[in-house]
Amino acid sequence: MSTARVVVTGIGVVTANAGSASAYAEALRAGHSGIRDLTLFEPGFPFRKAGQVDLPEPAAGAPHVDRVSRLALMAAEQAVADAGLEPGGPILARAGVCAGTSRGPAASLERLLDPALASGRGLMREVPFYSIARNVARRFGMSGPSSTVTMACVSSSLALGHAMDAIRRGRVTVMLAGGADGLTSLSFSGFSVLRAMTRDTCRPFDRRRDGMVLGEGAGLMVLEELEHARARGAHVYAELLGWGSAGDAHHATSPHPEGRGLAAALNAALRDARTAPEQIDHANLHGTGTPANDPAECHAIRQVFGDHCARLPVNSLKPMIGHTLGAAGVLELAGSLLAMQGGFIPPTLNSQERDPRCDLDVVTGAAREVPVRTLVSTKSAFGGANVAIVARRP
Amino acid sequence: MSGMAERQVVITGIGPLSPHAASRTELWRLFHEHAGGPGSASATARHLEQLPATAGRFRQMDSLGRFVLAAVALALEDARLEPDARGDESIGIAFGTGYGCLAANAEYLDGIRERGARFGNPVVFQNTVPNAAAGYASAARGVRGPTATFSSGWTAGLEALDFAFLQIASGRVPTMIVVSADQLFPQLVDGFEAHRQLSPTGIPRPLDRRRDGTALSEGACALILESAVTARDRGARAYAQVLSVGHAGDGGGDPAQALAAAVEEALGSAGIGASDLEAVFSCASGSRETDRWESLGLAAALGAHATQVPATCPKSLLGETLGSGGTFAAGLAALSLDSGWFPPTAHYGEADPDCRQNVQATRARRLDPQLALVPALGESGSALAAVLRRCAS
Repeated sequence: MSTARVVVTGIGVVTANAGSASAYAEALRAGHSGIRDLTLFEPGFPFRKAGQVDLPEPAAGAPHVDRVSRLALMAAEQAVADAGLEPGGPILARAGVCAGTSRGPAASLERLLDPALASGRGLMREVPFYSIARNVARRFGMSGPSSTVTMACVSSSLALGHAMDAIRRGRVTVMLAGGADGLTSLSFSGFSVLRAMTRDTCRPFDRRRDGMVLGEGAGLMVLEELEHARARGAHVYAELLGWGSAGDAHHATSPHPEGRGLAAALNAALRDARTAPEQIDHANLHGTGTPANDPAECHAIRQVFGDHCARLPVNSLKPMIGHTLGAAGVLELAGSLLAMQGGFIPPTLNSQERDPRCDLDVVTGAAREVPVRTLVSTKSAFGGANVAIVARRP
Repeated sequence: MSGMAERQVVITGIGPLSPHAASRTELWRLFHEHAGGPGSASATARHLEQLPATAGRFRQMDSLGRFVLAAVALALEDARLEPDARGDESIGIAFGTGYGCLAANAEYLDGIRERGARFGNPVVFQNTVPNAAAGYASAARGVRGPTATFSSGWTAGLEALDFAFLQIASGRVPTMIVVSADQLFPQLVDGFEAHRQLSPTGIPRPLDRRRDGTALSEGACALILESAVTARDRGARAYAQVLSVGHAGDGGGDPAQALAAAVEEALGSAGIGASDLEAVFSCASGSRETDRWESLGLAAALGAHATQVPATCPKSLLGETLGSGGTFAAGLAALSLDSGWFPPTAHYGEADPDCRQNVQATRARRLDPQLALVPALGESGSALAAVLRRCAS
């Protein structure tokens, strides 16, 4: 097995509060939230706030491309430009793509299944989950491995880990990895009937929390073998040191109450990164604001980091961008890397009255100006899936 | 992962579930007796009914989840492996599905269209993500190691195998369950029909000049992968060794080139040459287009050997099982390497000048292959190839 090191040399993000990586960094420092009234569709519930992206309408007569692919393509174009890679050039021609998504091209599926719309059958090629990765690979002529990870809310985290492994094993030197999810009536309805949605506002780790707020967006990162990046003089945001995934083996939708799988994923990531818990300066958590997730997650953090928790600031970015489902992993890691580069930790908005079961050093109110050298980002999902990624400043 | 020595990986359990077979022995008998063709969904359901009951707490599973859980149970039984009931971090699960939970999504959407968004069925909603099926299997069997779900169309099964192979080879865990599954539902069949991909005769004739399309089927197939040391220490029977996996994309261009690149990577990683291959377990399904892509890709990667190495087409008997095709083929390849017998291709009779593989027709024969290639490609823009080797007795 190769011992190649993997670095991030390009970041592209589309979120409710920013349309580029630089704007995202500014929004996270300022604590600017993109949550507002949903206009994309009629949700059918009194609570109608979400992290909706203002996406330009496609040109008249353009072939149908699902909203989620359009989000992904916007992020991919940013990432490629940010990395200084030439579209259609030799580096991208050999590169691979790994896209994670939870709901996939759900909007196209809704149209396909709607008996009132006659255009259904023509949408079939856009409906499979793999259409996101395929559309990105085609846009840039990428002939490296093409993968689609569908693991609910850890999708893009696992996509990043899988892409990292593709470089470390020597399969490719460059991967475009991350994920995307769009807001859909299906997910708005589904999380509402599961009583996972807030009726007020998303307050991670707060004792008054009552659920999450949905969001949408896309994040793609250019991952590159370190020597390759150095040789072409690329800007390096961070080195991805290691990652781990593990299952709760507990319940279809609820996390294990003690965060059993998350603790295992964290330990696996630290092992893979050859990093001791005490070397981690900051943990970006899943922090959905649901009654079940936050204490389970905090239990796992305490179990893995022990006394180091006193020196481990944690946060959740979801009050600013919403829960972007399959895109959460990459968007929140991207935000954390941008913040690490800027020398701050973004705040957890709306978190004011600490739940005693979430007694960690939660960064609240305003961004904390503090140097971070090594961080971990954790995400958890339906099906009991958990992923953690460790990254270090270059 | 970095710096760790690479472990040898072997297949120690095979759990197929199709309309025709619900165990390793039934699958092998199917190919020996050369009788099959895509079966009905009700046949799969009958198999499910006859399998040991799934735990009561998983009654909320959709049929994809039941397929996966049944295939995993069959593979674990075949491997004589029982995960620690308290939760076993030494065993992970990798799941591949072509179209996964789209049936559950369709059911949920139909419900809220009829009754309104507030009256969605939460039980159905929890099945609307592809990894729900793997989550049920993980919870039912106490599997708590690395987990991943891929929805890469027809290559999803081999992609799950690739992920699992790496977890073991790099030393992350000693054991992985690889499982793939797809179920049929009306909109999916309509979609294939609309794109004229289905055989009007319903008879799949892979690589045959007369082929006129695929015959959709459903099913699931699970494989148990273990490090060779772990398998040996517990006295497990190893059917075959997974030597390497290659993976490439077509970038919107030529799928045949993507397959050629995947095969070349697999051969290079295995440290073997094209002429070392003694059997190919083809992914040809009877599709006019895909079969030709595979032939061109193999010709580009293997040269003249592509027309000489014996090839067989599992989809001639199993039908197009979508994301499961790669794991069914890998399971059959492992059984062939283990037994020395090479299974036949059903319905094959007239060679196609565009598909010049050396197709094994009519009946199983003794071949004693040492090295086999399992390719997979489809419309997702992705291609994979695995190289399997006979285990030393």
